[in-house]
Parts: sequence; structure tokens; C-alpha cells
Amino acid sequence: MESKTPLADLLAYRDGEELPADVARAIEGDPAAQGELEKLRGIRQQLNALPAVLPDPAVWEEISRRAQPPRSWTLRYPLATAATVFLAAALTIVAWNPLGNGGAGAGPEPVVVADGALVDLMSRSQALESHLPVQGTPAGQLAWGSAEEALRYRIADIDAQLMRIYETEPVDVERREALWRQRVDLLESLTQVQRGQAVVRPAIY
Amino acid sequence: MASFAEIRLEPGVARGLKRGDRSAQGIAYRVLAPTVMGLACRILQDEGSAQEVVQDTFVDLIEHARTLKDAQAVVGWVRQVAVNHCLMRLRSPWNKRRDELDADPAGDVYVDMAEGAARTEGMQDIEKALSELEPETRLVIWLHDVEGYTHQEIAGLVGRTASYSKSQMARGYQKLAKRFRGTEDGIENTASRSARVP
Repeated sequence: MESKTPLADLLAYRDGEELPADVARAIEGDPAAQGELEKLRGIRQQLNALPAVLPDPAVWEEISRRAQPPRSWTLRYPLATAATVFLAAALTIVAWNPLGNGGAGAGPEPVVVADGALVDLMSRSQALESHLPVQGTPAGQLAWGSAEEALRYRIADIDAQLMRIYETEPVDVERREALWRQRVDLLESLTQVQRGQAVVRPAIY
Repeated sequence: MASFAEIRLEPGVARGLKRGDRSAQGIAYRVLAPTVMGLACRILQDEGSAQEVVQDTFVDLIEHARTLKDAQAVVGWVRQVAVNHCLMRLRSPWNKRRDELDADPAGDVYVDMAEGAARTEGMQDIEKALSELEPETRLVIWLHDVEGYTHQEIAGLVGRTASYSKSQMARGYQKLAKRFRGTEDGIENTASRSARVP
């Protein structure tokens, strides 16, 4: 026997929606409506019991290829951090200037006291960077997995390490020089890659 | 199938997603992808399009994870993005054309998208019944009955009124109910056994 109650009302009743009191009473007192309700509940139950569907394994590979994961700001804009590193380096060197007179009212003199090798490395690093054709390109826009991307991220990593070195005292002079040397090597590799020579020096640290 | 509301992501996974951590992305995918795929398969009734929805949803998640607040926000966000991607495909002219071509009166265009999964005959029947509904009707029923959307929320998604959502639901249930009759033990399928089931 079919219920005379409209299906929309039965669904509303099943889902606990507000219904006029007389409609609700009619449903409750009608065995046919109760039978229909059971049927509607059963359908909902079956819908919820449908199994999950596993995507093709290739989907995850495609996602990995397409997605550009969020990176820290140093990694997103690797070469842009260089200026910060230079600033940090310069400020630290100035602040540590043992040649400054340190007297009251006398500010530190802007004299770079790094040893000659370090100054050379910094200058070389700056010169290489100034010749990079796509300076400041966010790494996220580079082809995923490209040699250029890999080099930029490694440079960003070196920059992050340099930043930390200049933030801590005492500065590990040897470590600082080694990092600057790595930075120069990586920049030279990057320059070569960008010139189309695609020769990546085995600068694995 | 677990609905999104039943899925819990560890807070550590959400933090990892924010950092762009590869293993966190893998865990989130393993936990959420089957539900995203299930949702997209049932709404779109096309496995290829459903795979695209999974792909687009997770690419969006990886790229926007840093803007999300907490673990539960990740699950809700993924559900919302997946539904939006389904809606975009339902509205695309290409999809509409495909539906027209698939409108076979014999009803034998049903494709088993959960092939390989352990399924009972009843599940195959409800799956087939669902596949025969109009796309928007199917969307309304799935979002309401499985994902727990209110008619008001569905109305907001499809740009119509709550009454429209309710009428779509009633229309769909009318068709679904015809395939089933109640028994003392619950619902027994009475759909035509002659229908082609893969």
C-alpha cells in the first residue's frame, strides 16, 4: 500500500526538518507512510555504504609532477635572499670591527675586516649573481626537477646557513668561508646551466 | 565509504602540509583520496573525470596548504574544493554533451567504477540506480545524504533556492524508490535483473 503523503514531506520527516504539526502527525499515524520512511532510510543507508574508490596510482605521480609545494621564503625566492645575506654579513663585520675606537659617541667605522680570501669570495659571488639572466625568479616557477631549480634551492640552503651563522656568536670563520666558497661554486654552475652549457659541477656538499 | 565528516587527519600531518613536507602530502593523499574519488565518481559518473578531480583537488591542497588553519580545516577544505571541481565539470559544455550521448533509454551505459572493490549485489544496484539520475539530482542527493550538506548549503553551491534542492531530492528519490521495496529485513532490491551489470 502506498502512502498518500508527498515524498518531499516524508524526506523532510526522515531528515528531521521542521514540518507542520498536522503533517508530522499524519505521517506518524500512517503505517504506509512508516513503510515508505523505512524504504527511504534504507536507500540513504545503502548510499552511505557504497565503497570508497581508489584512484589510479598514476594520479599521485601526476599530482607530484604538477604541484608546486609551498616553500619557506628563502626557498621561494633564493637569490632574493642574497641581498639579506650580504647585509647581514656587512653589518656583522662592521659590528665586530676590532679596529674601531669604540669610544663614547664614536660609531663603528664602516670598514670590512674580513680576510682577503673571504672578501674575494663575496665579491665573486656578487659578480656572478649580477650576471644571472633571470635573477630573482621565484624557484617555484622553474621546471620541477630541473638542474636550475636544484641549484637555486641549494644556493637558498647555503644562504639560510649563512644567515644563521651571522646571527650566532661567535661566528665560525672557517665555516663561513666554506659556505661562501660553496655559494660561489654553485653560482658558477648555475651560470653555466643558464648559458645552455648544462654542465653541473659535482659540487655536492 | 567514510564521508569527509568521519575523516580525522593528525595535526602533525596538517603542519607538515603547511611546510610542504612530502611525506605529509602522501599521508593526506592516502587518507583523503579514496573519499574524494568516491565523491567524484558518484557525482560525475565518469572515472576519467573523477581522476581529474582528485588530481586538481590535491594539487590545490599542496599549493594552498600554508593558508589552512588546522587539521580539520584541511578535511573541510578538501571536501569543498573537490565539490567545486565536480560542479565545474558538471557545468562544462563537454560534460553536458557527453551526458546527452549517454542518455540511453535502455539504461545500459552504467560503468562499474569501483571495479575490484568488494561489492555486494545491493551495492551494484544502488550504484546503477544513482547513475541513472540526472547529474544535478545526483549531486543534490549525494551531498545531502552522504556528505551532510543542508539544502540551504546545496542551494548556495548550485546557485538556486533551498526549495529547488528539496525538489531535486524528491525527484531523485522517486526514481530510486521505484527500484526498491521495503521488506521486514530492510530494503530489498527489486531492480530489473535483466539490466546489464558488469
